Amino acid sequence: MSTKSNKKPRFKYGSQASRDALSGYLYVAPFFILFLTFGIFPIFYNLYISLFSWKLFGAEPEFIGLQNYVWLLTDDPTFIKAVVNTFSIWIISTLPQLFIALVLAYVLNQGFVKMKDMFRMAIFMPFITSILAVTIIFNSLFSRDFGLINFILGTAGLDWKIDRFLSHIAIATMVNWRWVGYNTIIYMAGLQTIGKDLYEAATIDGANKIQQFFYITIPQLRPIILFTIIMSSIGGMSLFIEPLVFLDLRGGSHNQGLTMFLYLYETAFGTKYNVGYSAAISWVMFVIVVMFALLNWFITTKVIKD
Amino acid sequence: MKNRTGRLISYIFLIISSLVSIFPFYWMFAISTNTTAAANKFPPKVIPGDQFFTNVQNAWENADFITALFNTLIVAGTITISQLFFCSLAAFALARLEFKGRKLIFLLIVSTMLLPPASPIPLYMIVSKFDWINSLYAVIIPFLVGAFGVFLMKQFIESSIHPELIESAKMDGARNFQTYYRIVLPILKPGLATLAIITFMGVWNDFVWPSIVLKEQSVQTLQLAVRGLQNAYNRDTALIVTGAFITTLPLLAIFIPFSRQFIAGLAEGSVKG
Amino acid sequence: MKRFGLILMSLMLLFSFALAACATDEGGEGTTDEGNGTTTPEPDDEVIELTFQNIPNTGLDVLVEQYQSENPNIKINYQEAEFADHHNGLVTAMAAGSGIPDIAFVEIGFLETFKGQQNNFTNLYDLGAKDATGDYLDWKIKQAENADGSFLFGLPTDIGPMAMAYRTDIFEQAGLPTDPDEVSALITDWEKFVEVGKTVLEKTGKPMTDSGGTIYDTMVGQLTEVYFDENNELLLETNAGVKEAYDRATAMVEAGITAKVGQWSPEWNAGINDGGFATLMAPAWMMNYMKSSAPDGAGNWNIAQMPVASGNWGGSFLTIPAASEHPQAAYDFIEWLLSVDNQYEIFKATGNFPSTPGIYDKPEIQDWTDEYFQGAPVGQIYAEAAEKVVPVYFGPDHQTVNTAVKDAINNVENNDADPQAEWDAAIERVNRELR
Repeated sequence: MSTKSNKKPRFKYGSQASRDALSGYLYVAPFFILFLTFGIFPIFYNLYISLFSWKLFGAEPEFIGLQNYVWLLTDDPTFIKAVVNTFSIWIISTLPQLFIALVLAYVLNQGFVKMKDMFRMAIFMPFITSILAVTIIFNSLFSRDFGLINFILGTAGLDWKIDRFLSHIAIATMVNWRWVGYNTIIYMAGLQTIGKDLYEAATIDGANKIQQFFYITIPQLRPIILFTIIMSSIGGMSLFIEPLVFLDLRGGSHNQGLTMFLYLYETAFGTKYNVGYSAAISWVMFVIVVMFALLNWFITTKVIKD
Repeated sequence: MKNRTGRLISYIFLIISSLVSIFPFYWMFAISTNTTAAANKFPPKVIPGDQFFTNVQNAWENADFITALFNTLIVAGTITISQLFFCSLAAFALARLEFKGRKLIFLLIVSTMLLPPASPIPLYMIVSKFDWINSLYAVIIPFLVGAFGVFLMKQFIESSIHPELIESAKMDGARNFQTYYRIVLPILKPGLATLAIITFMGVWNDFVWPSIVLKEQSVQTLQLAVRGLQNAYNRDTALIVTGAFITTLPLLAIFIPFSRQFIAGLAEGSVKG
Repeated sequence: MKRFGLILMSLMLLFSFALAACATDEGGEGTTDEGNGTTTPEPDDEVIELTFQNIPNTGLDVLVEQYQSENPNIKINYQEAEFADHHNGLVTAMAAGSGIPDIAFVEIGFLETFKGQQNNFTNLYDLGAKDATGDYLDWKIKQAENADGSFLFGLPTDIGPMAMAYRTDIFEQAGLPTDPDEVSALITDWEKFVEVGKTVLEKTGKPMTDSGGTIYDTMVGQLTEVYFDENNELLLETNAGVKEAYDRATAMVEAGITAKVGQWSPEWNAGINDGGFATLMAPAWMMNYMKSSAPDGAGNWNIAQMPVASGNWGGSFLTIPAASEHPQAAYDFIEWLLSVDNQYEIFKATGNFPSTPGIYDKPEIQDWTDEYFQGAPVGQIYAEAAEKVVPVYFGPDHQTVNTAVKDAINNVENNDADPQAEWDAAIERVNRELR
């Protein structure tokens, strides 16, 4: 009843509706003040400089229109490589990460599990470390000649940095290790919203735990899974510190671990100082990230529904 | 019988996951107690040595950790508290107040999350116009509110605070801010804890932007101190890992007691309102 | 409503706390502009504040204190940052036009890039540097000048003259001479180097040197012209010397006489420590590095002359950006800081090799031997090498090209790529990146 009347707010001074409107605008104002000051200008400035051949140390900036975009999209194998790398690392980090987190959350949510607090804390702990620290540790674990991972796998002398796919695995491992706990916690929060009666009904119908996981848990968690997928695609698309510290500015000698964001950064700051081209990369990246997020939205909604 | 194997598998899975999660911490500790020469052996040395205090002393001499810790706490603390307040307030407005254009406003805010990570040069220009180079302002002010925080808080409010609850508060004559403060905030606690941790960690971990605007020793943050070690002794593994280890310790000290609450709150307390 | 006030107040309190903390930090800031006065009142006789941005471990910081106490009207605001962060920060500051220091450390590789923007720097010749340049090595001053020699970007700090470090234990095992003079006489050029390398590999199973990349760097360092001519035309495809260096380096890789370990990696440190390879091309500053990161190598290394000729690796300059409001005061400071006497002090404290040949005859350098290198007369060797270096023109895009070629060698070495295909790919990449 009251909800309905609120849908058509009448703007009378002192009325609930006008007070709501006033508070509403006031409460969202801080975000927009900061965003207008620090967010908008860089974006449009970037759009502007992407139209120039502009190297920080070299000849004067020269207006070249869309030439940077033309080069980027039609004649830059390095960029293609960076895009492929980014998606490759994203897939081998996100899929296992979310699946393991989902299973962990499901198991931890079972009544019989003892010492839940301890398990949860252990699994969550990696999230506390800094990316720099994570990369430093895994750099040592993945070391070619002295790495523990080579020792355990019995692959002494295997170089995790030089081979394209192996370097992706190493980087994805760092991402996975750091983020599984976080997602587990998010999923556990979501599991609380699923009514016990659903599981009870399923148990009466003779569904086992694994069937319940696939037919009740996953569909019920859909909005939260969607949220984690969107978040991890934004994170994954702007991945950059891990390959920077694990490999180098170019993501290794044949760009084996170069990601889109790292390429952007390297173009502006490596040895080239080509800020015009770097700005063009940031805009193409933007389009890719938006399309990818929408695609994820679409797929997740479709797939989990059925 | 079948139930039992299921439980056994569950436990094995949990134990392995926990071990994998914890092991790198142990590894960090083990290396920071050895010399670099001892760490660079095959098979790798997994047993702690006796070099811990030498390494710590060495790291201590090469970086000003106390100042860096103080700076990091100021930056991370201010941003976290500010984000909790402003993001939850904005989210409350967007989720539970009726006003013209709120859907559009929310869409705008969310779409800024997708904006391209630009080169730092334009932001640097703005910050330098304010004369904030080598000042903690440069790493605090631009990050006081964030789109992600607003988005997350809105999710939490929508899933855990029923509109009727707000309505009944209004019926009782509560002002909007009172409703926010008395009804929304208490129920939102688990959500706030989540945002707090995410924000705090994010700020604590950032080093790209700070490295560009904070060049003076007196304003450096912890990550910059560790980054400095990486150069000072080139690739002295033990020293660098020790630096990473001692900057992780305070976080562990803060979060082990706190995260227990946070996790329990998230898993049990929420949503029932 | 009361509670609202409470929250607001606590929030403001928190803010003012943060702001106060920021303000105290700002007190020491000296970005050369107005706006001090707010926190610390200055004494009446004019105090000039200079900002000096440096990288760690140069040994210059100690002298800063001394200069301040001897010159009470100068206050130096000293800042340090990690090597890459420092240079990137400088680039950003210059691009944005603010936050630029009065004195900036610039490494030779970056200086070449910065030369493209002459108007960002002060010409030290306008500040009286003509009187000082005679103290420094000619080739080092040439590195810091523009093409026609009318503009001086910076004064030299240390240099990196090269010699060849070698493992006497491995040489002995391979039945080769171990005396420095004999080794110098044995390995006079790169062909001999490869020959000896093959003997070492055959007799001991150990590779001759660390990586193809290091050898390439060294060989290129001995050319007089590298990737660009003085008009900045790209020579990559036409300079036979570069191609020859590339072919030799990749041939060594394919002959298996390189250890395939990258510079600065843990594997590289361990190789120096445990004798993983027989030789290492070592600039003067490498000695300290070897001692600290490979202590067990002590007594197994010795030092001989480089094949063909000497060379230089690294070394840096102090520059005065054009934005400085006190260029003369800044110049006076760096001229003092990098004077012959002070370079000598820095050398004694850190081992960084001075760029002032006037002190090469001093006993501390001539009699300087090193136990790590079996008592070799390292001071004499490096002083001699320093004076033999010939100036090379690099050009602003040197690093971009060099990175591409080194990457190609690395791919041949570690990823079994085909040398010719990698060379072609590198040329294509360079042409794309320079457009």
